[in-house]
Amino acid sequence: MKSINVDLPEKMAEELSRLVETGWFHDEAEAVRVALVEFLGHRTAELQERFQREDIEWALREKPNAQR
Amino acid sequence: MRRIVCDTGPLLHLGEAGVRDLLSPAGEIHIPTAVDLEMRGREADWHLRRPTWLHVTPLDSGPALEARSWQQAGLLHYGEAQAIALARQLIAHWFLTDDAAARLLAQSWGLEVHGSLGLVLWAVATRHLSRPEAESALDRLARSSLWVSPSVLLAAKAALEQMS
Repeated sequence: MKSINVDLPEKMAEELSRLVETGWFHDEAEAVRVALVEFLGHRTAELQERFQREDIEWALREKPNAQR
Repeated sequence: MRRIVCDTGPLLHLGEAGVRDLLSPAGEIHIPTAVDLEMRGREADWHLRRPTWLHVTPLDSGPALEARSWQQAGLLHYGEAQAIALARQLIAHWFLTDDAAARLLAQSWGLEVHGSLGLVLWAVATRHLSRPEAESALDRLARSSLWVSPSVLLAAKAALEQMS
């Protein structure tokens, strides 16, 4: 799994900590993951197509593997 | 043997396309109880016709709490949340979903994720399905409740050409 360090404005960091302290999330990393997924979730159709194209490429890569 | 966890989407969409049994040669297929319940809601005789190769595997308490928190955060439906938690519990080789948010979250946990369309093409690549059968299956998949754009359908058929 990839880890990313991000500098946040003080107010945003405080809000993030508050969300964890009040029990909305287990930790700050989970809160950030949730926010990112929500943001990307608004682009569902575009993502759906991208994922299907990734699967097409994956299947094409599987072909030589299957022949080994 | 490859351990695979599936949520409701591929079970439903591959079923609508008449190729649900393609899941079986892919590996050992597990679903959580929430997905089993969702399938019962979708197909009236599911409890009678549930494939024998499908394992309904309950979640341990930790992953169950994790799934509940994802659902309560409004991120995922309960079946998808339970399925990702089960994939983490079983350290699954593949997680199968057609839901974009579920795929993103599962990938963020390091899971290898594929969908119904990918599985049909994989079956051709690994000789579990002939090319003519796959062409028909792709057409039926595009008419199922799964969203497949015309350009993706064309790309999938072009991939079949490359495989033959």
